[in-house]
Amino acid sequence: MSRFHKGDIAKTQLQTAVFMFLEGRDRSSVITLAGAASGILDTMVRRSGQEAFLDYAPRVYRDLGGQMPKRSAYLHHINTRLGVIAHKHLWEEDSDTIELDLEQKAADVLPSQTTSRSTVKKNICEGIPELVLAQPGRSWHDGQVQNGA
Amino acid sequence: MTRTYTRFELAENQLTSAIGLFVTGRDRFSVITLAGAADVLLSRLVMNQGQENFTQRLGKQDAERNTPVALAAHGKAINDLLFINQLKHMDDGDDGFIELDPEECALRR
Repeated sequence: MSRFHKGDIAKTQLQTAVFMFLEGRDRSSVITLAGAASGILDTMVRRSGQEAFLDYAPRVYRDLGGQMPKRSAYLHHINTRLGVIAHKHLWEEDSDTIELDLEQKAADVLPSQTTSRSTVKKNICEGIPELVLAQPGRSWHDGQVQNGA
Repeated sequence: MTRTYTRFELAENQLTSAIGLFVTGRDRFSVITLAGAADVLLSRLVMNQGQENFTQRLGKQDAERNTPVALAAHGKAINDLLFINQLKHMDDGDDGFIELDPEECALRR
């Protein structure tokens, strides 16, 4: 039995996601691993006093003329949009199939976890190839988000 | 390119990756997370086929021993035992540290 900090666990999973992405391996796994890292990094970034992606993106959405979505609603929206939910949840009423662009979603989910300027994420991203870190962010705010959903 | 995937394909992809990472000695945390995600999809697909999944089987065994436990409690106990949620969530009151044997959890997953 060993003791681990979740920051190290997130870093490990994110590095594995980047490795798999760059090696052209399974995109579903890239999405799930980056999504798992996100669930930890988001809290760490906020605790460090920095602005997490899930705070930044809704602010951009609001500034572009939309309403300020609730954090939980935006989290669900982003995780749906990036395909994270489709890879780890399945409810009775869901269909047996789903339409996805796995390549695009895998390419989108990594920058969402690696492009923040926060100190925490900078530390987490140590060791991740610059190729990935240099990818431009996408327009996360262009989907429909229901305020308070 | 957008295409249609079956839910089974999504689970299969992740489970294959988990096995690949495990047998090549790579990151155990990712093995646990990927196998855990695949398990959620596969468990539901098994139920949708009218079959009994692992969690339901455990619940049935408990009921036969007159120690019934809710299925949700079984699912949570399995997730807690293998640290599934701890590897993808960090709550506000969480100190961030967990104690586990990654090798053992990955193997059991």
